[in-house]
Amino acid sequence: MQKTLSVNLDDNPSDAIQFVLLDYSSGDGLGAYIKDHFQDHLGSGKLVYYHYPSATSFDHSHSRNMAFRLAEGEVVCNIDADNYTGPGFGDYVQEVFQSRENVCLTGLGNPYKLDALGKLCVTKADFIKVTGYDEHFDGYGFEDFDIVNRLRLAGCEPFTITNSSFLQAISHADDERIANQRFSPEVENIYVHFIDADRSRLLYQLRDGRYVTASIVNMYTIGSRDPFATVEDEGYPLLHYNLEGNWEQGTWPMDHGNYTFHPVTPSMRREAILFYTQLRNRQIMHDNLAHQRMSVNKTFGSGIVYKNFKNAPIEL
Amino acid sequence: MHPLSSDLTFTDKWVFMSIFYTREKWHLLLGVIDRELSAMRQEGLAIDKRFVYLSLHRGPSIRLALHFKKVTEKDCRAIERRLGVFLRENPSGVPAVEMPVTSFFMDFPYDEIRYNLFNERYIMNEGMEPVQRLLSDTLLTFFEDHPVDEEGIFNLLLYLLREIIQNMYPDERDRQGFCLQVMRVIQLHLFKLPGEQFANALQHIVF
Repeated sequence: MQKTLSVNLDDNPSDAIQFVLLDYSSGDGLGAYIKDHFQDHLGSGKLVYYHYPSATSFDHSHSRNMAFRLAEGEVVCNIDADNYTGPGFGDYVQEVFQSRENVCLTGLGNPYKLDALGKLCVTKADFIKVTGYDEHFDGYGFEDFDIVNRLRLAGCEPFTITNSSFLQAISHADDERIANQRFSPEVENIYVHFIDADRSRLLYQLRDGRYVTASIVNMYTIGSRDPFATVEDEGYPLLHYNLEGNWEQGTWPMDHGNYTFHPVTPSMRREAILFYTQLRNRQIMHDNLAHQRMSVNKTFGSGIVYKNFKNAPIEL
Repeated sequence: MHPLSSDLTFTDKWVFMSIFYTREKWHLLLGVIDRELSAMRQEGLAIDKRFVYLSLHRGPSIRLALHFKKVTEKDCRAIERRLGVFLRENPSGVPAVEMPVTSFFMDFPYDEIRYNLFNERYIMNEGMEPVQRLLSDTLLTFFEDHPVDEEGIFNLLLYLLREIIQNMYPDERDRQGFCLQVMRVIQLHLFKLPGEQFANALQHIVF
């Protein structure tokens, strides 16, 4: 945020563009930084700062829903903290929405940056119509795909942002992607049982005494006996493993049966956590699509926030 | 037309094969690959480019990127069968790694052929393609006489240096002049060879 916010403000000087910054229980001194460096922008109303102090972990969908609900414009855009808007992005968005109806702009499918996939611009009315991002999602992955699917169901035609200057972002390692997520600290250990070159079984031992386990398939190699097979990873990035069967849950200790489980390395642990949350989220996305669900949340973006360092609570 | 090319035909097509085989015997397999592919090409298989890579990803393998003017699955299976004869008669003799430390999946079993574990990104662009092709041909022929171990790779590098210098300076006098220049640089900056030894070393430059 320290790298992106001031650049984004400078790149979008139009009075018609307002930045809403949601501090989602950030523990890195974000509030103090904003107070110290952006008084002018806060004073002019160009920047509005909201603080949500009640988050125990980072929730992608809930945090975005809050920010979208707090935004007052007719067209609302999600700009992740690590994203640059690019010079004139706000003007470009206004032009698109003035010249077309029933559209949304998305970073999905852009050829430049995976870190810019989360960019989404939509009318606030359409956002409300689909009840925002699905808050059943947990952790990193697929919430952006899901909301675009549902916006399409609501009659919005998605357009991919293709101008590379609107897609710049600070790249992240997987460590940062899973940091502050709910699932990561719940996992005590992760083990793997090797079945063959294409299949393995993963076992997550949770701190609360439960475990979850499932067999996974490497989609890149499963068809590798066929000279002309193509990889079927459903066209989505970041996920080239798939489940064979379903997740099984139980209480530790589990009956190992014929399995020989080996502890995974720290880097594999990160990948396994991402894999678990992404697969779970992807399944929810598939269910939403299969059932043609346009709206998914009874309430969304709920909570009590505080505006511009004032003590008056605002209930969403 | 190759006799087996009877099913669905792809034209202008890359086929990416990975032959998982113990590294200690790569030199044997490389020679067999060279002979079998050359023989099949003479029999009519429409291979117009072949690239060779040595890989340790998911187990030791020799990777072949084969470009066909036209190819069918039967053509690929025919290559598999021809190489498979060698693999059956000369099995790796050791098991593949069954408990990898840094991967979610076991290594591929030895003596197996898999497809599409790498792709076109391995093929260098137009300008460098002839160099890559020359390197592939060199790998196939050079290692037939040398195990692919540290010494073999060192010898390959020496061999490649010689090939490069010979290509750069076809004239023997030019080659010696270039080598003299290199030796002087080495003498000045690295070893500081005494004059007598330097003169002796020069006499051993043979092409």
